[in-house]
Amino acid sequence: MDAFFTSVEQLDNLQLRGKPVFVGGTGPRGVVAAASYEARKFGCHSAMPSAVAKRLCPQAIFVRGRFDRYRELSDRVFAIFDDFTPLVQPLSIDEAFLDVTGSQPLLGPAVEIAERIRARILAETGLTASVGVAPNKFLAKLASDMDKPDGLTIITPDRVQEILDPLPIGRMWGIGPAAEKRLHKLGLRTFAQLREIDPIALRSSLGSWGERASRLARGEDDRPVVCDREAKSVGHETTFHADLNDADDVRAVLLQLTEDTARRLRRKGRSARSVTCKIRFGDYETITRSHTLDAPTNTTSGLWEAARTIFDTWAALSFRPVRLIGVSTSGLLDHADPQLPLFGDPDAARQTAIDTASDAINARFGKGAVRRARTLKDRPT
Amino acid sequence: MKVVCDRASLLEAINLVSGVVATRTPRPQLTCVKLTAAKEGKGGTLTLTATDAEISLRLRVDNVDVEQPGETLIPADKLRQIISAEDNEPTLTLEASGDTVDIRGEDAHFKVYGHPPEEFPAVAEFKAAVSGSGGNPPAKAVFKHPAKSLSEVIARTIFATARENTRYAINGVLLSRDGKKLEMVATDGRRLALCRATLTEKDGPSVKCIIPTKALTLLQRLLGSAQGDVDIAITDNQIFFNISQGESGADESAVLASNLVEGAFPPYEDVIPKDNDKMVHVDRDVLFSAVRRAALLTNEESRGVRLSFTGQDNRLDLSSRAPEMGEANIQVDLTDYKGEDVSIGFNPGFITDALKVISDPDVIIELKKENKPGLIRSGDDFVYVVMPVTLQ
Repeated sequence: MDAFFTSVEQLDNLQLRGKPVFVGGTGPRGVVAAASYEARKFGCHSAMPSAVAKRLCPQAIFVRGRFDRYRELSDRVFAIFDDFTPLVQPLSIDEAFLDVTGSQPLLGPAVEIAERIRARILAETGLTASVGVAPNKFLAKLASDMDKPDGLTIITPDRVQEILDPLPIGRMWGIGPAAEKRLHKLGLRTFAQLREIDPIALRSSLGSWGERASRLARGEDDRPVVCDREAKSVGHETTFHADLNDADDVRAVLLQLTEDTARRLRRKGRSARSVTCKIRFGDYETITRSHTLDAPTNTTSGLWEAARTIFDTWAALSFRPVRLIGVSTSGLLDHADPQLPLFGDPDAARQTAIDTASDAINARFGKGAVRRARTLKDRPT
Repeated sequence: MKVVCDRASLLEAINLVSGVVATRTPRPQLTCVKLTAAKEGKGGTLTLTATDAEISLRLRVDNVDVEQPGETLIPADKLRQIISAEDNEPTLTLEASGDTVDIRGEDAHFKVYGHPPEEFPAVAEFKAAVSGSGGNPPAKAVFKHPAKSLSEVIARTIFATARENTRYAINGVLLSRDGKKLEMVATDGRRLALCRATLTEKDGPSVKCIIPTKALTLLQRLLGSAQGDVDIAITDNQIFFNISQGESGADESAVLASNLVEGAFPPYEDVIPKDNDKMVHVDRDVLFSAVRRAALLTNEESRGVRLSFTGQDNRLDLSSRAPEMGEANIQVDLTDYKGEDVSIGFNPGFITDALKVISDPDVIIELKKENKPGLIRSGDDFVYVVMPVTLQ
């Protein structure tokens, strides 16, 4: 998807169309989660500190992210993919690999399928997508980035070398700034240079990784499209504008994140076996603590009990100011726990009723329309 | 303090007390072990004390050459590593001066920095717990029980405790004493193990308390080869175990104390079924093997093994099925199945857990229907209740 978050904002709000828009936090530690193409002209991009983006493009409009809405549209786009192939590998909320090898006899050549997917996304969501069609994942990803936004790029086998050779080495899969520097030191700046080096020599200077790089430089990539649609974990985290030095304040935020996480689990009809809390401090040291539940659950109260126990156990002994707090659930199950309990929990039915009612209210009146009082700023003690 | 000590005895003792030492704590003193050397008659003793503020253990090593009595506080982890690594030395010399401890072997010298011993929290002695001291009232109940039997009762229940349930009360084992009856109960909310023993003393107050699993695990290790009786004292918020070497009950050679778990134990008597109308005797080893084999074709998603009892054929069929993996079927011939046919799913681990701690080859299974608790009995003293899993 093209500038997905900001495109959704521009779709939903006429006032934002054609204007530079950022989705992200505006606080001192805010980061740009997405920048519209209008803003990118000013050199702004995602993951940039908001303060820098504001300086580069003062007229841009900052919008708070509405992640539930993005997820909703993402689900609709992924539903379209399902009509074309069962082999879909999501890369992120707005990116996926599709293997259409087996779909071609039925649905026509890959390029035609790509055009039809793009057309349906536009018709059904009002958003544009860029697609790359190529013989493997590495080349497809490269192709999809070559003509953004709203583009379709095809890399046929006979054009592979012509397209790859002039590309800078940093465009290669798995090469970050550090690896790029190492390659530059070896005098390697383009794909062509990398391709011409003997793979065995590359292996001796770069390790087993060198061999892979050499294959990628020739456009070879045999990784299959793995359709692991089921998320391994569901969770939320948040960074504070300034480190929070009151354990009760952190706990209140953790509760809100747990409510959000539980709601998402329920919407997916899944239950979790484990709860993990993540705590980051001002010096970026990060700790995680997990708790395995005796029985999988998706009730807010059940997950909160675990998250709170983890947090309180840590806070009682070693609380210090917190920069980031997060909660995630894993060991996800598609169905209720088949293991029957020995002691009926008289509270379980009530908690489920509370969750069902608050989910319905929040779905109708917006997230946070009803929530636990403890998550409020001026919460009762 | 200066002592010369047999390395093997010291290693055994430090390994035991290391189980108590706190790991995550802001108080470095709690990561230490306190060493106390005393002259007693002709010989001397070295007592190792450790606590994590919930549980404390005091362990005495006898036949120590005490050149100078005294005490010191030293990081348990380092002490254990040194004693363990000095495996060519028959004896080690420990000498404390100030807050440092010198440990010497034939060819080695370690200097380890410790803490002032008076910074270590006070750990109550058994006798003091019985009679009450320092503002604490005397123990509510004091009784003794043979180490071997106590160890068996613990082994037959402790496995069923919850590991880290937020309902704290079931993260421990319920101990109750009523007249001559000693009973322990453990549950994780899905199965429950109950084991009884008979006390030699019949008089004494009735008492119920919940003991943390960690304390009982440590106690099991201490009981290991112990003969004779264990003295037990229960106060309002603590339990004390005194394990003597030899016969003398007053000898405090190992004392384990633990805070009790607060909270109410679930109403376990209500969930022990009394009207299970299907009953069968099975051989422990035959059932164990059958369940274990059937469990081979289960996975995280489908954890259940189905047990189908048929009266006409007097047969038990165990089956399992894991999606994308396969199926298993095991047949067991029965001799005396009584009742209508029934088919019920169980977590196989829950069944084998219980069979592992049953010593009698004759096991009784009692069932009612597929969504009601199953019962496993052995003799008069072991009862195990296990809830089924629903199978598709």
